[in-house]
Amino acid sequence: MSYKFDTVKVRGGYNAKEHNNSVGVPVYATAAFDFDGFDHFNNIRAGAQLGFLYSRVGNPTVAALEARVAQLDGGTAALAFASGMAALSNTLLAVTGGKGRILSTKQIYGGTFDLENDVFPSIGIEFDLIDHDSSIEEWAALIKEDTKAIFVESISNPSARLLDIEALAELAHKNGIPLVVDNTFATPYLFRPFEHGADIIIYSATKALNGHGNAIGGIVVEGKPFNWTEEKFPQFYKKHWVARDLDNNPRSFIEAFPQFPFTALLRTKYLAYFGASLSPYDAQLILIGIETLSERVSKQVANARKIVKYLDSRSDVVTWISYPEHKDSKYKALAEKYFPKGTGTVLTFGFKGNDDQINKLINSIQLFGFQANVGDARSLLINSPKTTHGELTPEELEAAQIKPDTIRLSLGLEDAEDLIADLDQAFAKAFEE
Amino acid sequence: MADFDTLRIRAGYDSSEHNYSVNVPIYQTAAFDLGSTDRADRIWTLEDDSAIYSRVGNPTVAVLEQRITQLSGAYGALALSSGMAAISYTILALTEYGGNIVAANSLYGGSEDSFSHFFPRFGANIKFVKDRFDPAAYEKEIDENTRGIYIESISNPNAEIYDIEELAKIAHKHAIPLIVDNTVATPYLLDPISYGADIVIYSATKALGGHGNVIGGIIVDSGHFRYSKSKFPQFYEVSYKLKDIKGNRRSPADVDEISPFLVHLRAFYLEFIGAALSPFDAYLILQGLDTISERVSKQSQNAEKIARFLEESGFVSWVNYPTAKSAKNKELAEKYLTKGFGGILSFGFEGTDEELNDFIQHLNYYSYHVNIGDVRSLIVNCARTTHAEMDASHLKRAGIAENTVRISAGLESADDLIFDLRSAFSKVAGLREIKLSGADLNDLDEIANLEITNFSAEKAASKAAFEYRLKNFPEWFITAKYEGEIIGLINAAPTDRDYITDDVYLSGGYYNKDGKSLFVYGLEVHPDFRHKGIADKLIRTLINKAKEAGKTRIALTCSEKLIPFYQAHGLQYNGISKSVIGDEASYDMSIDLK
Ligand SMILES: Cc1ncc(COP(=O)(O)O)c(C=O)c1O
Ligand SMILES: Cc1ncc(COP(=O)(O)O)c(C=O)c1O
Repeated sequence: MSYKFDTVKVRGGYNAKEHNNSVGVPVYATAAFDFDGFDHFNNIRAGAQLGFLYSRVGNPTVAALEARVAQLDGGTAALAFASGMAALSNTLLAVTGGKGRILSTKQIYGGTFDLENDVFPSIGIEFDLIDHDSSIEEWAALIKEDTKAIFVESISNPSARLLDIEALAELAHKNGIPLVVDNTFATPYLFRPFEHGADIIIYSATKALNGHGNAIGGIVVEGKPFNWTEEKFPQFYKKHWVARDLDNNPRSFIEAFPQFPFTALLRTKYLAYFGASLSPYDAQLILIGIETLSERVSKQVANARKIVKYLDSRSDVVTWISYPEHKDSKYKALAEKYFPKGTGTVLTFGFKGNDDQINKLINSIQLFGFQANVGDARSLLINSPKTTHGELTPEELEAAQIKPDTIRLSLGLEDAEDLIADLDQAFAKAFEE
Repeated sequence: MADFDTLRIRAGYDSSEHNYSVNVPIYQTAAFDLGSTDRADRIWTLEDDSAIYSRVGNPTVAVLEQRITQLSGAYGALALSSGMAAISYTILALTEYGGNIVAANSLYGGSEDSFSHFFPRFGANIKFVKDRFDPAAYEKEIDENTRGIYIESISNPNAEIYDIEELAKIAHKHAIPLIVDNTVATPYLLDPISYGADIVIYSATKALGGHGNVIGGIIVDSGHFRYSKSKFPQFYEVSYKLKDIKGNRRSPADVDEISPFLVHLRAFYLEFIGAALSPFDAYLILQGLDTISERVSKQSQNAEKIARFLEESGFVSWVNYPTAKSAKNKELAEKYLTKGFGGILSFGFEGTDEELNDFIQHLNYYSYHVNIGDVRSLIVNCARTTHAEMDASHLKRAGIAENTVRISAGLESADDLIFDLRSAFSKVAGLREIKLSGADLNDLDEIANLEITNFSAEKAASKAAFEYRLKNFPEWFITAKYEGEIIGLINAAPTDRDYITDDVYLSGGYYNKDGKSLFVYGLEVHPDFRHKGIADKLIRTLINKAKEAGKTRIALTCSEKLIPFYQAHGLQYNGISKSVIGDEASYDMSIDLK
């Protein structure tokens, strides 16, 4: 029997009976696990028996988190990492197998953008970046022989742009490649990408998934296994000694783990050797955070809507508002189709002031935190172009359509009236002589 | 500079910067308030090294990095979420744009496999030397694209020592760094930098943390090596990400000419490939460091005593430890390791796979798992576990024999550790004299005699009872014979019942040849042959036989003092039994077979 979302978020992936009846998920702060004997080791290794060998590649606390998120998204398996960037980079490396191209947009998270510029090309992975609002034909035109995946954000950071995920999934599949979706801003509460054709989902668990801003973590979720063809994705067909069966016959990841070959490859090679494993302590914090996911995000969405309304009333200081539900947004139709519960907790707006006045605004804010995170239970405010997207050159910022006057808000759980009052007084101070 | 023992407790931490907390606080936060826009600008341009976001910097993690830096007499350090992250980042960052690394051909299994099969996919090629003991062999492999020499200071699992000083000279002659994985030695036993090493790597999971409660890794840069622009252009590429406060693009070398390597690692690898260490785990490693000297010196002593014992025991075919009789490079061990020789040793087990399995099962004070450096002693059969990533040819090249057993000595009493090994060896040796076989009616007298030797008259099963069982289900008798004589036995009845309660027990007729369960009547060993592992062997053999026959459950009742014995064999305790035979409380135990 499959439980509904709100039941899964507090119970999924965990069976107290397997953990001395502990109601809360224990923190397995251990590097290694005892074996009952060689057979026990061998069974676990070959996947013939559930169990754990060494916490770099698998840990019971982390496993509960992985199973819970997989269930929330309706996936087949999930794998946690030490950060969202680790989830993202390991996924893109594994999909390409170290060679090939990724098709993505110019308007994605600054860190991801830099990965594409500075790190991947030196190891043989190239990116083709397209303008976010391109037509599906324009997307199709950029798919090359060695393109191995389409990678997008379901709600983009920082400007909250939306895409037609179903059309992109169809395009990807027509070309025999998977659609990888960074669903960090949406969380599975607002959006479930597998239901719209995505094949792999990525989260920075640092953000709204956990929601308390107290842990760095990332998660990759695998949907129904994608049809990895041997000619494009030979990494799934190569026989590996590490994936050998009980009789020591080397197996490929497709043979050994047909339900979740991608997760198996990612765990056995990428997590094992790039070593970006999540601490069990942080896994527990994220599990606790997920237990209030729906309540938090729905309240944060409500706050975001109130703030949008307030900003609308302040055309004296606000030049534009980017939030998909906003009346001026070109993403209204997509918002209605894909995000019936709301389009997230982050919005940006243009502040009608010079650099000095922007600084004054930020330095006058009392309640909002001024920091480089989003999705926290506390509201945050930041001038993205100079901070979170500070890696981007002015030309890249322009290409990413991030205007210099951009202020990003991430709405928390405070009372909306207090947040509005804080903005009100800071707007006033920004223009004081 | 203060001494090691002071630094390991105090270095890198000033309590006045942390609300006077005596212990390092756990900064369990993703982000940090930026304060003002001016401060944000300074932080973003690295003028101010305060933390922004915990993926790339966190105060708890920074204390660990500083502490290790000072303990190593180094320039700087970077902490990561595992030792493998430390290894992979180092290798990839040095070999960008098609470089290679010359490496010793016997390394930790994860390094071996990733060097051979995984990192090359990302442009990092590894050239393994032919003879890891010969410095000239390393030099021979160096070509124009070589970007470093890589060794372990005390190798895992064979505890080999190589000539660090000579290798450093060769590396420097070719303008490349010497990279040393110093995990097994720890900074307490060995300071590779003082012998010329340039980059030192730790798995903090091991003796550095020491409590086996965390996964972590650290990269240390001595600050002595000059990364040339021709060999390491990646450290001289300007990037907008490293802009100064005026907005000018800078390269890692512009930011820090002494260690562009660490700048590059933090700004690109940690930032974008994201193997960040949790602050909680950093705290655990710091706590472990407080006792590193006491731990590692005691572990070294224990390991050395165990190595001596093994060499003299006659049970093993060889022993690897830096001071073992057969060790190569003993003079080097004396030279480099003045405070002890580390907690790791390995030996060749003489016996079959099954005996090796028995041997490990007989040990009480060694955990059977894949870690090392823990305060608890650990044992593992390497070729099939920690080094199982390697196929036969790699194992051979690395000098890891099929019968290699690795011990990581903990902090238990050395006497207990040696006693435990001795008794497990004796059990294995003793068991060689014992043959297991079935039984039939010809054995009836001997079986009945054994029963009378072991049990009082009112508890012993009658000869008639044995006759009945031998007639009806002899296949569930297993006997242990010494020189042809039965000295132990286990026997069971196939049944469909959960337990054989006293009433059915007395009346008989409960057994069903095709029953899915087995009920064990008794397991007994002649008093002269007890504590030799014969009972273990009997119950284990029965369990395996039952599995093969497709049985789904084994149940039995036993006295209180035997509960732990059966639990050790996987049976579950199900409470007090209804059986009252012999007037003594007995307990129900069972195991489900799948
Ligand atoms: C959309 C998105 N994806 C990925 C990341 C990276 O996640 P992390 O910071 O946990 O590494 C972030 C934020 O940092 C993000 O906003
Ligand atoms: C010598 C050595 N280096 C590196 C590692 C890898 O470290 P970690 O398991 O912390 O990733 C290990 C053990 O696993 C090791 O024994």
